[in-house]
Amino acid sequence: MKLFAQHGYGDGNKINEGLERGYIQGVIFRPRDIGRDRIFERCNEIRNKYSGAEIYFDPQYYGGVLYSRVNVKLGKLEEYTDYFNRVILSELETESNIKNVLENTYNFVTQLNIDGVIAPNIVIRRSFDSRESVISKNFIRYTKSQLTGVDKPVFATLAVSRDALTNSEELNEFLNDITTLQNPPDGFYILVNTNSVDSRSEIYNADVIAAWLFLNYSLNVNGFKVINGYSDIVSAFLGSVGGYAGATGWWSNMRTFSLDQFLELSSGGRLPVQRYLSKALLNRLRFDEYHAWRQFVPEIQNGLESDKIFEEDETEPDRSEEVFQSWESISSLISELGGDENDVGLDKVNALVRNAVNLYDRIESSGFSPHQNSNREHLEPILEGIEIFKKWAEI
Amino acid sequence: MNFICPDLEEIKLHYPDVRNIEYKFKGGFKCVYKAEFTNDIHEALKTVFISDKPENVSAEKQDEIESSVKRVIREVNILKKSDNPYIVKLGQIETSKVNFGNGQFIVYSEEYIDGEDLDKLIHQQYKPPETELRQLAYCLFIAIDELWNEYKIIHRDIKPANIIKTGLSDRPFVLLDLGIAYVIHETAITRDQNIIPGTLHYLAPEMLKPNFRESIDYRSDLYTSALTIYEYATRVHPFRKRDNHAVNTLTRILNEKPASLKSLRDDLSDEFCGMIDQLLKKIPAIRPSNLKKLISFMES
Repeated sequence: MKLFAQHGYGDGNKINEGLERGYIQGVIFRPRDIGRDRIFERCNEIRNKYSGAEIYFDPQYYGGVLYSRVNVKLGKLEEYTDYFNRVILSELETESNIKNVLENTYNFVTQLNIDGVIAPNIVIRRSFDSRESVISKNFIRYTKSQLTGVDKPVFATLAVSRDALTNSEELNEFLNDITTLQNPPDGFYILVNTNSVDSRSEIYNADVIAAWLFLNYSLNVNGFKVINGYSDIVSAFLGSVGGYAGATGWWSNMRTFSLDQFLELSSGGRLPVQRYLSKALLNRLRFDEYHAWRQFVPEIQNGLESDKIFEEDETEPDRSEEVFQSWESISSLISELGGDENDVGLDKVNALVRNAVNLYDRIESSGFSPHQNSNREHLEPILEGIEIFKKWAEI
Repeated sequence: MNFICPDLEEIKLHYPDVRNIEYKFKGGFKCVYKAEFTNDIHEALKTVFISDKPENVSAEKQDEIESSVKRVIREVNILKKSDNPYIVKLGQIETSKVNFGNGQFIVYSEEYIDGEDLDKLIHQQYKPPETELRQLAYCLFIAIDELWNEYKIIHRDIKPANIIKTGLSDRPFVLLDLGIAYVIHETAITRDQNIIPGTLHYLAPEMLKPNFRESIDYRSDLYTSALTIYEYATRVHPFRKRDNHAVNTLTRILNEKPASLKSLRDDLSDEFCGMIDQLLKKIPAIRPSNLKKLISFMES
């Protein structure tokens, strides 16, 4: 399992540095946050400096569905007129229009110095039994056939809401269809769409975790490479059931996928508190919680090189450095959980979660009350999700 | 199925050019005979019961039967194009509907394959080595690949009794009975949604779900192939127990995880056992579906 940088606003030198330090093995660019001219240069730069790094470009065609919203904020995506435009679902009910979108996107994307082509698609926002699902399936159906004369793997985008994933019957039917296509893509780029990137329960829900694991497992069994976008800490679990790569970035909208990234939301504009990712707790803690808790429960420290970013007590670390601590910790988790048979990998996840429960017990018995996003609410859904997945997969 | 096989005299009367007709066995809706044709070639003559005689069914039902028979003949004839060595070839008798003494039958013939069916070998406690099991899987996957990718047909009745081990190097295993009986009983001849095609113990789990006909694909054949290989390798059918009540068997097919192949045949490679176990998963989407890769895996 590889970890990629999920690119977004404010890259600066983060991706280069992450690759340099070996915390990440590639990058997925998003046009919303990089201009059309600059993307060519940036891909070449990474290729030249880091020859082993994998480079991908998510065309973000799905953003066009929000084109007419009053508070839409498409950023630099609008510069990509080669393929990006308003998405009108009724037009995509015609297969020839889908083929045109694929062709136009490929004409642009294949000019980039990338390792694989991520195909355009829309997001299935409600359920697998919907018009959007039929359109999405047609995008997947023609993903491979429309790419001609290019010797690079092509990844169909499967972007689906977390709500749709919770219907296992429909998920199975959808998977049954896309795993027996006549001319299948080489892999899939999976995005799980949430209603809010700030609510952990959107992803840390037993049914969502089980379904995300199942998607990776099923597609891998059927010979597809699976790249998970915006998968953050969950990447490590997905790797243990056959996922090829996960990705995460430095702001919350690069760690969790939501179409809301294209909307201007009134958030008050305050910068988020810096957080330390504790492998042992499978969670990010506020920097002040980290400093306080580690005195009593030292096991929450990762013991990794990037821990030094959070060494200074009382003060927040350099904001541009926080992501390195995240990347290194997730990479380390991936190494610990990967490379085994599915059941062994999942048993390790189970053991990690049970250990985290014990550590939280100790933290709380030391008199601390974790903040909302630092508490143990994610643990139970992970355990339950794994159990549901194991039942489906007969592991 | 309550019907009587056509007797030899009746068959001789209808097919005067066919000689030395010999009754072999009855199974499901079907009766099988060995027969000799004018050019001294032996073939398996098969009669598949479809209904009572025309005078005993309503005119409406008889209309349905006639139109369904046409469809069956069309579908069966598609298979004439196949020259796959691992699929039995159709014989000299043109597929047609014939009224025999006690009912209406579809009659056709297939080449007569010398050898032993796997069911008999299982009962003889034969223990095949991995090379033979891989060869069996290879033949079955090639056959499934052609049926699905060339004709969009699913066999639906792959089981040990329908596979002959020939002892020939160019076609070591041959798959019989291209589910013709079930093509017939899938038509308007019977619209009863409760009738499940296939043999109870060799049903893929998805075939037990309502409306499965809308979404079934070749992965059901992959499942039954794996089940056959598993049983041939171990002489154990994972869902057939001492308590052989149909409901219990169906419950086990739907819910029970078979013991891993490795646990019963530890001399077989981990890779081979893992692949067969994976093909036996209940949900089709987690069975490996890339036939080319499966074939190449078995070749290796």
